[in-house]
Amino acid sequence: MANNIPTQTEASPGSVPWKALVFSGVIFGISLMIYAGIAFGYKPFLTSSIDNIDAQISELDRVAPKKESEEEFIQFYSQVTNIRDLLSSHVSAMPFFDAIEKNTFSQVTFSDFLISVSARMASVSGFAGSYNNLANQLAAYENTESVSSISLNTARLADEMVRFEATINLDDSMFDFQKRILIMESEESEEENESGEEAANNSTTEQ
Amino acid sequence: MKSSAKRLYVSLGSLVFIAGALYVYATLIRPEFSEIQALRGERQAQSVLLADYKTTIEETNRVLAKYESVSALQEIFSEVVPPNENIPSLLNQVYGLASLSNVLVDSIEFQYLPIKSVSAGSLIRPFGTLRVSATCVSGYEDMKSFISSLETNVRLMNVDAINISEGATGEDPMLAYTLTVDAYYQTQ
Repeated sequence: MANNIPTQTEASPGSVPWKALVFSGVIFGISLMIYAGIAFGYKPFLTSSIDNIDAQISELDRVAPKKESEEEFIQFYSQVTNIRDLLSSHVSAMPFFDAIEKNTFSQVTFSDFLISVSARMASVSGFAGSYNNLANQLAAYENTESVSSISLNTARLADEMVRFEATINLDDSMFDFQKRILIMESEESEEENESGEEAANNSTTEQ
Repeated sequence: MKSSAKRLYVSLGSLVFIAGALYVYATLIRPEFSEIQALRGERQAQSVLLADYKTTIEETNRVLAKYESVSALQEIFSEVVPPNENIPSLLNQVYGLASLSNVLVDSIEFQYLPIKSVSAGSLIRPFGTLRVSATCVSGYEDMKSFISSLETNVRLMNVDAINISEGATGEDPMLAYTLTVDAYYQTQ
C-alpha cells in the first residue's frame, strides 16, 4: 500500500503524474485567487480611493473663493495694472507752452496753433516782422531742447509782414509728465526759499 | 482502478486545471486588469487634480486675503480710472475746472475710442478711452491754468490736442480753442 503513494523521487514514465496534477491545481488555484483579489480586493479599494478623492474635491468646492470675490479681485487688479500703465504714459502739454514762451521773439505773432500731443508735433501759422526775424525765430526753436526738427511749409509777404506756416516736430521728453512734476517741485522749493529769505531779511530790518 | 486509467484521469485532471486556469485568466482576470488600469489612471488623474485644485485654492485665498486688506484703495483707484464711463461726473469735472480757470466752455463732445484688445488668456480687462472735445474761450493764462488742472486732475486725463484757431489782440486778448482730452474708464 505504501508503495502506491507517489513521491517526488519516484517519478517514472509509467507512474501516475501527481506532480503535474498538483502543479496545475496550484496554477488554477492561484489564478482564482488573483481574480478574487482583483475583483473583491484591489478594485473596490481603487473605487473607494477615487470616491474619497471626489469627496475631497467636493469639500474643496465649498471652501473655494466665491465667484463674486474673484470678479471683484480681477476688476481691482485690472484697475491697478491699467492705472500703472496710464501713469507711465501720462503726458503734459505745459512744458511746450513754457518752451514757446521762452523762445518766441516779440517780432513774431501766431494766428493759428495746433499742438498734437499724441503726434508729438505742432503746426503753427503766424506773422514775422521780416524774413530775417522768421529765420532767427526758426533757428531759436530748432535749438530748443526737446525739439527734434522744424520745417517751414510756406512763407510769403503780406501787408509788410511775412506770413508763415511751420511744423515743429517734438521729442517725447517735451511732454514728459514726470519731468514737469520735477520742474514744479523745484519751482515750489525755489519759491519757498525766496519767501524764507524775504522773511529773514524782514526780521533783520525790524531788528 | 488500473494504473493506466488512473494516469489518464490524473492527466485529464491536470489538463482541466490548466484549461481552467487559462479560462480564468482569459475571461476573468484580463478584463479585470483592463478595468484596474483604467481605475488606476483615473485615480492618478484625480489625485493630480486634487493637488492642483488645493494649491490653486490656497493661493487664491491667500491673494484674496491680501486684496481684502487693500480693498479700501479701490475707492481711490475708482476716482482715477472709474469702473464705468461716468460721463456726468466727467462733464462736471471738466466744467468745474473750466469755471475755476475762468474758461468759457462753448460746447463739449464725447466720443468713445476703440478699446485696445489684450493678449489672449490675460485676466486683465482693458481700459476704455472717452475722448472729450471742448470748444472754449479764455485768455492765454487761463487756458494754461485749465490745461494744467486737467492734467493734474484726480480722474486721469491726457491732453491729446490743443487747437487755437482764433486769437484776438488787445489788452485782454481772448483765445478761441478746442481742447481734445482723453479720459479713461475700466471696462467690465
